[in-house]
Amino acid sequence: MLQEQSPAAPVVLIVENDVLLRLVTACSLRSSGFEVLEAANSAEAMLVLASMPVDALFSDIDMPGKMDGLALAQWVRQRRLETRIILTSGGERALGSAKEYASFLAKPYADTDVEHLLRSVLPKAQTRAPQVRAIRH
Amino acid sequence: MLERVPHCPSPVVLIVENDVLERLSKAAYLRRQGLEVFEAADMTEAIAVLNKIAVDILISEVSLIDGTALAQWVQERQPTTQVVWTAALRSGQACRTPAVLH
Repeated sequence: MLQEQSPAAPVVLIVENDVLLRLVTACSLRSSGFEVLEAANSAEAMLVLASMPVDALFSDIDMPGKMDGLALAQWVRQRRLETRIILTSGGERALGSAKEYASFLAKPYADTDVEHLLRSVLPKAQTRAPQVRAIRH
Repeated sequence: MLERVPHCPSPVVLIVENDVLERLSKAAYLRRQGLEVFEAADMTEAIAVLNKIAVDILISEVSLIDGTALAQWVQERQPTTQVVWTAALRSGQACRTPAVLH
């Protein structure tokens, strides 16, 4: 499904049930050169992750539904996906065992905080001069 | 007062679609055409966006629960917004829904 135009364009999946926050974060990251996919909850995120390669997952922890962000991160880990994981939540949260494979960014965050953290967790080759990678319709 | 997307001369599109893979595929295609595209997973998300941002074109699935109510809501509050319906048709099924409602 993904048409690779440049190996340097990182694909980021944002999982956030606050649509306006998701929208603002996605717009900011797109303008910084990332290819951004959006999911409203963990169920949507799993469908996306099972369908296409995702370089980084940026997920809220506190979401309605059967699976929260911590469980989603564990699901990614169990499937041995190479997706880097960043979790976010209002205030400090104990990540538990997830701290071994996930980074944490407290809300409220600045758009630049997300971008900088993404660039720090992604392999260097993916974060250099990112270009738009298109999805074939 | 609704906000225009800053520094954006392109038409602003809101896609309301509960199938995430369908939604991101449509959104990626329209972004490649140069449009500014926002995504909503359901009517609640759509209303949250429409309450905040001036949208030029709303694309909504016919079968979406309360889809027609959403179109009516938009026409009352953002009368300049064009509403475009999408529908998945079975083989041999005719589309009786106008493509553009308003």
